[in-house]
Amino acid sequence: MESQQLSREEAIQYWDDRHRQEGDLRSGGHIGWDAPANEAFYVRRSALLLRLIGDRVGASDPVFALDAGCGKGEFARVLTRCGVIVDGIDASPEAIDFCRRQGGGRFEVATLADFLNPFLYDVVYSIDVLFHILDDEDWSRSLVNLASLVRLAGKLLVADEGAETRRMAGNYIVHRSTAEYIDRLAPLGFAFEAFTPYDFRENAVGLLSFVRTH
Amino acid sequence: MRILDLVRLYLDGTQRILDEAPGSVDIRRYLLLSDDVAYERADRPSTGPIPAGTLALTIVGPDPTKHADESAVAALAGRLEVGGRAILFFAWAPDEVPYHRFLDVLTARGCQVVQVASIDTETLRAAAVLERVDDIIAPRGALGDVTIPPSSTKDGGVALRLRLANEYAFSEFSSRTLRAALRVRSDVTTARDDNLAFRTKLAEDIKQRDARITQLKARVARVEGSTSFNLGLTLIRAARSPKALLLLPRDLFGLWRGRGQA
Repeated sequence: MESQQLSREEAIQYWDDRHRQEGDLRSGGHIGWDAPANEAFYVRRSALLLRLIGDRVGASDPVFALDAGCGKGEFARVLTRCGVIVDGIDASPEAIDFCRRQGGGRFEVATLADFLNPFLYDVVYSIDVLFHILDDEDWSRSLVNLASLVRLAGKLLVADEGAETRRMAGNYIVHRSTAEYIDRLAPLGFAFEAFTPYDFRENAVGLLSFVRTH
Repeated sequence: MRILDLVRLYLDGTQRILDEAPGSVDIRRYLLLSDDVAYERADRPSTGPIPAGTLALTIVGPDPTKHADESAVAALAGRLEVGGRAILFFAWAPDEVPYHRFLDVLTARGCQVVQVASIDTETLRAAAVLERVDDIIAPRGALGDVTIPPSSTKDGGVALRLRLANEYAFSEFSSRTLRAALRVRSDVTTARDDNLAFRTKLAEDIKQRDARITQLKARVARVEGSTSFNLGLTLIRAARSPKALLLLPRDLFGLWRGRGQA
């Protein structure tokens, strides 16, 4: 089973090809659903993101956010329209080129584990990305790097199933347990707030919300 | 942020709002208070203590007839008891709040600034929320609604203090670098503006000079075509040359015939 998993480089290539070949929403959304379903799925997740970020965002009180694994930047553009100042990163040059053409944020080609920045964020979110990182070491490095970018009292929102045990799905998905996230983040000063499911069709994924306490 | 949004963040555990804002700004109409929060308006600052459960409001700004000054802020902060809170609404624009005037008085009176926010009204532009503390409390998120769970600071809050100090050190470093870069950019912009103004003035000068040249050329052309000028020219030519002198009657007749045609 292990040999069937995509390597890090293969995974990056897979997503770059997928962003090149698939439509705007399906490329980063659910490959098995049609465009209207993916549109609805994006709307549902965007609404959840906005709820968890807070509804007091405004031009005079911006929130600085990092979209880690932004794909073609759909969430970043929605949040930008809602007053959030978003930076987006993705390992796929194809996706970042698309984001830059669309505008609405600062976008860089970078992996979650390697992104460097001179500023902290009020919110770092990663939607449906971390469970695509199969290698545990790479996943851990990615999670720690994202956590390091969150300011005191800032939020880290990461998508997974919020389950008690880990689960593999196909050769490019590993759903990790909530305990694995907490074990990695608690020593870094994060308190686990809640798991909020997307509640969309058969999808069991949702957002795990952490707050930096120190 | 609206006043309502800011005040609501601090209504948990608040039984009374004490409005000591000088002047005629009616803050109450922004608050939409429920019946379980009492509202008191004080036309002049009182001297009584402000205990936990009371949220005092005032307006600070540059106009002494409408706004409280730093001595009034010091007096207000001095009346706060541990857990008592106050919101200072600033009449200055968010990027012009002279907060250096308040840091010392707040620190000396044991007050922690727990949030600073922009305010979306024409007269009140920013606000700072103070709380009298006996120990440092956790800051809030950017929008004020993300709070650190109290259980996180049970260990005496050393980790929290360290994080605060460390974030401050790096964010201060970043903001100083940015501030310097902004200054350089501002200088460059000013120089560019000066240059642009100089070039605009030069272009205007050249335009005026060209107009003057055109005007003078027309004037010269008119003079050169006049009978008086040609008469003078003919006489001078005749005076200089005997041959021209012989032709003078013919030339004068020609001038006479062509008079008024120039």
